[in-house]
Amino acid sequence: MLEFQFASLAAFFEMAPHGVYVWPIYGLGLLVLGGLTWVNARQHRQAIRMVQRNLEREETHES
Amino acid sequence: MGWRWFHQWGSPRWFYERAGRWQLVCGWLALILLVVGSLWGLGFAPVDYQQGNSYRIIYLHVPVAFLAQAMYAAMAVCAVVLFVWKMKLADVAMQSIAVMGFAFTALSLISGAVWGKPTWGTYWVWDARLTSMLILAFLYLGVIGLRAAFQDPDQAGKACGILVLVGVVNLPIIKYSVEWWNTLHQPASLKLTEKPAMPASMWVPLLVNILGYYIAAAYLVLGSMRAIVLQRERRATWVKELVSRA
Repeated sequence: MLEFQFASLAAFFEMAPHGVYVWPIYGLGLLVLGGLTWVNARQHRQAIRMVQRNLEREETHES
Repeated sequence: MGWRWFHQWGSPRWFYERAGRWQLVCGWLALILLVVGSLWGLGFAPVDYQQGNSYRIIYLHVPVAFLAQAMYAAMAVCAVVLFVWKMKLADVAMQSIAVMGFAFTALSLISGAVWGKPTWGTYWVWDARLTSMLILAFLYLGVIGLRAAFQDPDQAGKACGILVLVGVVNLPIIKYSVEWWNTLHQPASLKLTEKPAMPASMWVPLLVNILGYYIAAAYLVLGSMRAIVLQRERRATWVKELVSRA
């Protein structure tokens, strides 16, 4: 039922005549999903670091 | 069975502790679905007899365009929850969804433009569907910008909530634009009430990718919400305990 629609892998990547339109879009999609994942992880790390700094400051105030 | 399931959402701590696990499950599920759906659509779905291979952009364009609208609707639900129940987490969700929603709207505009070039001969026309989607992008930007203009998160939440609710008027305009006006944009590819206009070998991978992108959106929103909860609750005891344990 599932049949590969291209004669070769090279033809798949060329995707004539529209590969130049199709592939960059999927690359961009990957970039957006990956980029947002990275931004989220960084924000999470920054939030933890901020709380850590506040805790350290509180400790030095107390002593 | 009472209202407990609902009231739990009032506790940022309850959410934070669980959201990490949900995020992990959503992330892996989305990855599997998107790899399968995209490869299927790109390599195994038949070529379109009119549009050739350019139509394969549909496997990204339609899911992200659905999401652009669905996320705005979700943001509006959050605004209602914020106004009626004063739930802090709803505001956090609104903040996260605004950013992710803008990203998906931009992606749908760009993928649509690139699909338009080989199909219509132009990247852009001031057609009802395209224009109303562009307005959606500006609405998202407006919500993001408005929040940045406030110091106090409570005030920011109220102002953003109002803007989000006013902007809901744009959603039916987007949906019906292809019916109300003569547009270059083709009519809906998939409808809940009708049989799809394309063969199963084309729409099954599309369905896989729609599901994949929805779950990916949930994964991204959950991740962003966790970071914002931590940042907003930085003075809460449970956050301090969590960080000192880490």
